[in-house]
Amino acid sequence: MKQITIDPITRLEGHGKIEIFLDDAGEVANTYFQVPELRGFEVFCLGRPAEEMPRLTNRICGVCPEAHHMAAAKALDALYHVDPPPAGKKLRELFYSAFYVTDHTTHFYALGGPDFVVGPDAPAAQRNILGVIAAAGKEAGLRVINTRKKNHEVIKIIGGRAIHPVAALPGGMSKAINEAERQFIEQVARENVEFALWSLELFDQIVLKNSGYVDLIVSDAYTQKTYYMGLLDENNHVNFYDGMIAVVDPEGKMFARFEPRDYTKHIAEHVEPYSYLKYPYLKNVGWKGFVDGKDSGMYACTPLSRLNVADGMATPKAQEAYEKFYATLGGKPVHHTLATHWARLVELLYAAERMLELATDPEITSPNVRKIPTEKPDVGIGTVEAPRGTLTHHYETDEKGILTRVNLIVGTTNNNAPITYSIKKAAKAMIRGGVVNDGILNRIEMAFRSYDPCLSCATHSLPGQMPLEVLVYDSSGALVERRAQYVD
Amino acid sequence: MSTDRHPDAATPLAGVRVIGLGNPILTDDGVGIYVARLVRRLLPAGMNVEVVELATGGLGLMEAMIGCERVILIDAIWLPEEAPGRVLHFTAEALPVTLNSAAAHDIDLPGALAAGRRLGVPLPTDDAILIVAVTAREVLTFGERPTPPVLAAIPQAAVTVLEALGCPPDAVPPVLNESMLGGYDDIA
Repeated sequence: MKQITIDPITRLEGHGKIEIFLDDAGEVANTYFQVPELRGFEVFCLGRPAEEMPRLTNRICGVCPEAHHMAAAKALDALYHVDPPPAGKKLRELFYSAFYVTDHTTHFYALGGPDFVVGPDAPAAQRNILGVIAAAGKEAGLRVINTRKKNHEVIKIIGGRAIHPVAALPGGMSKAINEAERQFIEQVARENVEFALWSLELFDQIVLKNSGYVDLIVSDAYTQKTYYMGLLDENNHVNFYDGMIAVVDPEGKMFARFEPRDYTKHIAEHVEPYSYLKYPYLKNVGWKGFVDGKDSGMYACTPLSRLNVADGMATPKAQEAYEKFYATLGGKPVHHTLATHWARLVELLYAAERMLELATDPEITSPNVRKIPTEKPDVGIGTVEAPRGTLTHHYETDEKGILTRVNLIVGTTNNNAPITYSIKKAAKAMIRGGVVNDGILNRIEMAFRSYDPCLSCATHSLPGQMPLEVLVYDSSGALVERRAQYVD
Repeated sequence: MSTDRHPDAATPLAGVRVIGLGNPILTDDGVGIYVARLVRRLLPAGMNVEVVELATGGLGLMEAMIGCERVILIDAIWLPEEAPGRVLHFTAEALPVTLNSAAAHDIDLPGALAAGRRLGVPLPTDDAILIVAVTAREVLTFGERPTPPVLAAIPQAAVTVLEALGCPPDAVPPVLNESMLGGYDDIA
């Protein structure tokens, strides 16, 4: 049996590894997806005052500290039994919308999008933002840089810092915004809406008008029928900041709808001996292994999942984009993993429109942004939709607010089982007769990349090793071939 | 917005920025942050040097260099064949050109710099980006302090930065005082 190892060792991503085992005929026998061990975060938190958590947990991720900041603040609201005033909630959601714009923009243009904009078979050195600039023009790159810059300024204004925000506290926010700041944020939001619409048009021109790409998106290699999860508002629309957790089955029927605090009644975790990352599944369906279908409790929570769960989008232009999405792909639910990139752009537009709604809300400059907690703390659970999936923080404390239990279920953990299944399915479809090349490996990685996974959290060591290694072993375990991608 | 020119394209490069990079709750990974704090503390008065702390690489790091004539980047480096606690320094010219899209979340620094320059973003040249790196070992374990050999390297790394800035190195204390490092959330 041959063993192929894809081992990207790079900034922010730790040591995620994809291993593919071939049988004697060169067909895929099995695949494994492993992530690095980050040892002992829960233990690291225990004994600390719970109010540290919005600042401490945002340190575990260099990619989405804003999501951890929000989930932690919401968990603290619950822990201290305090409901923030409306302006406090709106300010948090405004902040979170700006974050979504930056995060989805970065993923589409720098990370996932190059597979389409540049092409899945392009040399690895071109499948990045430079390749996007070459293919889509300098305007695309300039818009990305400009969008990131301005929204980071918004995040800094509301959150207090550009990278690791500090403003959210139990009961609301530590500070309000003034009229001049509001005007700036409104202007940025208007530009965001324009940028999101332009991005959808770019996707239409480059991807949807290319029948080869559309065939790739709807191909069986990238199709899997799982349950889907996401937060919904009271109108069954996608919401990133708040709402009920909803789950639809592979046929699109509502399977469960519950308050985040009840997550343990619906979610259980499967463990595999080869991975540090657990595999959450639907307790009321059961773990059936890495298989799709209605009898398998595997679920996904991605931009595509959120659209599949919802009845629509809460803003008008995003609703139009949502309708086009399903009209083009044959109705709900869509099971094509690569369509997640398109769903991400629909969400980008929603985030931009929601940001504009909130920035023009008369209450957004209200100084009444916090209610001081007065109750004794006990248990607090907070959930938001991180860009890459549902994120839940669960804290328990003694009566002085000292942490006695911490449990975090992050978006990529929620998606661990479907990611594993997607890799397996793509590998089985792509690798035939032992033929493996860079294009094939990239197409397998595309299944993985569409989830926008966040494996470790902020491992910043400079790259001292190859970012990607492929190791091939023979049936005796001896190394017979070594490849390195993305390295001169 | 103008679609053919970066808004800062005409701004002349100016100033020196020291960027401490890392995560102060991931043991050795925080060393860049702690060295930056020591440099900030020891900089002679009146020196026009900005010292910042940063937790992101790739595009975010490139964006943190916009407008600077010169940058000193301090970070952990994971070289399994090297003992932890060695201080290395090299310019961005020596960084491996990986341009990888294998990273699920970001491109690497050379790729981000190349993209920025292609777009006309005002950035320092590679030979004006000095990287002071401390070899690290424990970068996946939560902890608010580096391991002893990495902790012990902090003064030497700070000396390396100060020398590169043209400052006399004798201001660096021979023994590091814990209070100089600060807490995980002490970003200035």
